[in-house]
Amino acid sequence: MIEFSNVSKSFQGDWLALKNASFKINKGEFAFLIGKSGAGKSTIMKLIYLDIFPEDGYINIAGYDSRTIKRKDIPFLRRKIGVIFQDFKLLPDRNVYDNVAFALKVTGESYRNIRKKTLDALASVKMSHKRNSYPYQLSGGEQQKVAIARAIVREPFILLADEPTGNVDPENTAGIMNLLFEINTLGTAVLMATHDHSLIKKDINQVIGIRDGKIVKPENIFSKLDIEETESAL
Amino acid sequence: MIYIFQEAFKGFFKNKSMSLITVGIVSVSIFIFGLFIIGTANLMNLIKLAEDKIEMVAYINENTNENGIQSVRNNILSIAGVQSVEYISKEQAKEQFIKDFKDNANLLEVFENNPLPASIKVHISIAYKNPENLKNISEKIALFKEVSDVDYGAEWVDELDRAVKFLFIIDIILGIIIALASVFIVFNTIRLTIMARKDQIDIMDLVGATESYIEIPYIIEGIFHGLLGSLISAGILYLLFSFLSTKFPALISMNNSIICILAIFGVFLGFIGSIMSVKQCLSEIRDFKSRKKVKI
Repeated sequence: MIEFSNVSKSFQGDWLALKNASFKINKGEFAFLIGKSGAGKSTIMKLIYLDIFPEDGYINIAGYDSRTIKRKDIPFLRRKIGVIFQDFKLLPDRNVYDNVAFALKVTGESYRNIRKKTLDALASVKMSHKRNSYPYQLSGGEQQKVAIARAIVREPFILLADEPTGNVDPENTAGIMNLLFEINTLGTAVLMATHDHSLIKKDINQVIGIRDGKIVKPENIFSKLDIEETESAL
Repeated sequence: MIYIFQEAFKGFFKNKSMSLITVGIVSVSIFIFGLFIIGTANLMNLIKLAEDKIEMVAYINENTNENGIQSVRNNILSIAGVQSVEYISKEQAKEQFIKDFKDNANLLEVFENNPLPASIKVHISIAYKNPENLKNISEKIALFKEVSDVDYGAEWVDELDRAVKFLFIIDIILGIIIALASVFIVFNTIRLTIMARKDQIDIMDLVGATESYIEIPYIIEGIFHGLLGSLISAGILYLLFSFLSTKFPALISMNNSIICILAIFGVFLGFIGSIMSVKQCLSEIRDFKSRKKVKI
């Protein structure tokens, strides 16, 4: 469903953020992307929703090829991908309902469906009771739940979670994680980027380690071993 | 479609202070442009008044009979650019002289006979009131044997022509400067209002809104800013010139065509300003992401 094939990406010409990365994420899978800060996790996330493009190699996302996709097709790809961030990215001037409905309105969803889908998404993250609240009235955990509702309201095939618990207290972290697992059991693939080993469940499908822009075995993300020898862990 | 208008409407009222500043700046810019337009209209009116005063007189030989006068009248009328002719007999010329020079009317008494010649006043179409055409027409009239001399104030016409051309160039340069300054100011103001909502544009882009869905609400909002700003400035100009025309009755005041010009200019500014700003904002967001070292 998502395939990275020898993908390299540099920024500002010289800084290589990702080097020859190859991995696959299958339909309905829950995968962790683990690595230290600056290892290249967010770069992988951005490459998946084609916010940035690889310089070498290619990415295939549900049939869309990064080498051949047209600019006008990117919005249609993004409608199939949900994304959440550490900083939630909610609109402060809209209430919870409008923040979630926003994703449907700006993509031309019919008015009849907007209300139903928005309320369903809020119910699935257990935030229906706060639908009239504004983001500043919510805790970090609640804001992230609203962001998750916005990400899943279009029923994406994959949810990309970039350090989703980074701004959430430990008590709410478990709630967010449970929500992500629940979403996964309903059939949506989840790729979660984190630097926190403790969040990884043992029975998880796949753990992708990343160190200095290279894919490594998860246990090697902090080791000083020569990563050239340990890459292609998957 | 409902969303697009709803969003444009919401955008205008949600960011009240920003909207007011934008409309205020658009109003000031268009007010200055409006002053220029009305100034130009008044300048053109002055030029027209001056051009209306241009007249050509063909003096008739002393011994020309009725038939000769009739034939020269018809001949002059057949020249391209001649609108109408008016015959002034010797007696009429004398009466006019006495009327014009009341105090020195007795000057004519030193002459035994009336020394003033009969003449034909030639009215020229406005399109022909330029030095070259006037010269051509006067030369053609001078060829008729009944005509002794033709006068149209050639030097004055040349000077007026030079002044008109000079004023016209200054006016065009001024117009371009004011129009460009208005576009620049309005563009930057609208740009600021759009940049203030960069996060919203970023999220729209992220959740899969197409470019037109992102852009159109901002463009509608920009057009609305421009239209409202232009109508406010037209209102102020209307009041200002209504007051001024009570002091200077000859002044051309605001009329429907000037209001239309200002409204179109405002809408144009709002449209261009917002479309350029939102496109720039989108490309800045995208460009920034592809260049920066992403936060990991």
